[in-house]
Amino acid sequence: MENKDEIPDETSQGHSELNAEGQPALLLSDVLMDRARQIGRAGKIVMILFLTLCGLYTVNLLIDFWEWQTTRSGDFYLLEGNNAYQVWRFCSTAIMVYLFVRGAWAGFQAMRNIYTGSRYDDDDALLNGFEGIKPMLKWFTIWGAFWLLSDLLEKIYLWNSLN
Amino acid sequence: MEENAPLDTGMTNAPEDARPAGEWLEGYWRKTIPWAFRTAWMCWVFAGFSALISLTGYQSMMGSEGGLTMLGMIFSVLLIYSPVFALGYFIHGFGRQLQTALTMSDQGALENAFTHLYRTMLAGTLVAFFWVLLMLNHTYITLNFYSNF
Repeated sequence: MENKDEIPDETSQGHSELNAEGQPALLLSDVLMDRARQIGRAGKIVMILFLTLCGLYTVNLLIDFWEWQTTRSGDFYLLEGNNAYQVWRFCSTAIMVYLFVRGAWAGFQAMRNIYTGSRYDDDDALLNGFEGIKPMLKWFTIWGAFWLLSDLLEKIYLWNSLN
Repeated sequence: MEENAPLDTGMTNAPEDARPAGEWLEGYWRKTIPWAFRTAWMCWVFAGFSALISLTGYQSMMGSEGGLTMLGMIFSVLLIYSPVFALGYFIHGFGRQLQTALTMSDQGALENAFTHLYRTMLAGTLVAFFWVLLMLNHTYITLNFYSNF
């Protein structure tokens, strides 16, 4: 007799042989699970390297800021000297580091979950892992767009100030 | 008389004994596709823009340096940014194969999609390692410079 209190498996909910569109359902085959394990393992290394990169970038940013603060003399006026450009540079770099950390952290969590899910057949972890790929890509795309925009603006500003 | 059942009855290999991905998982994958394409395009624009900026930096040397040196410089710039370009190619492949898998219910395409994602991670390791090395070098030079003050 079927146990009515049994909680349905989230990954197989509403599925038997066909999916909602009446097509054969996609399967979490052994090949796919092996691949997920490899992705999780390599992905964790990438994200740790990216987070290390962010740490190093922050150290450099703080050194630059400290150097600017100690060498700058007199009262601070935003529109005087090179102050506006320096403030813009620090702010844009800080935003870029923040966006990259968001992407790397989302990626690290996704990769950790994908690895755990595929290694120990944990469906919840696998679902969370695959769900986490989108935010990772989203934050990295936003970071890339911001980087391109700020770099382009900086180039235009430097070009105008030199000519 | 009851017939003997074959010894391998009930013993199945993948994909017959594999679990279905389910609507939730397919839904997550569906939402990931547009971002995979956007990220791929971003990687290509990033690589192209950075390579162009580096090459314009060499523009002043064009007259003074020999043809072979210039060719070497162009090649080195392309070599530096090629992992980012490859990153874009693999992410795009991941999105494209995932789209095929979901629209055609193609198990092979799904497995190919995740092979592309794995290659993305390998290219990502190369890019990340290179960037960390560059940043370590930059930090070392900066700290060395300020320690002399």
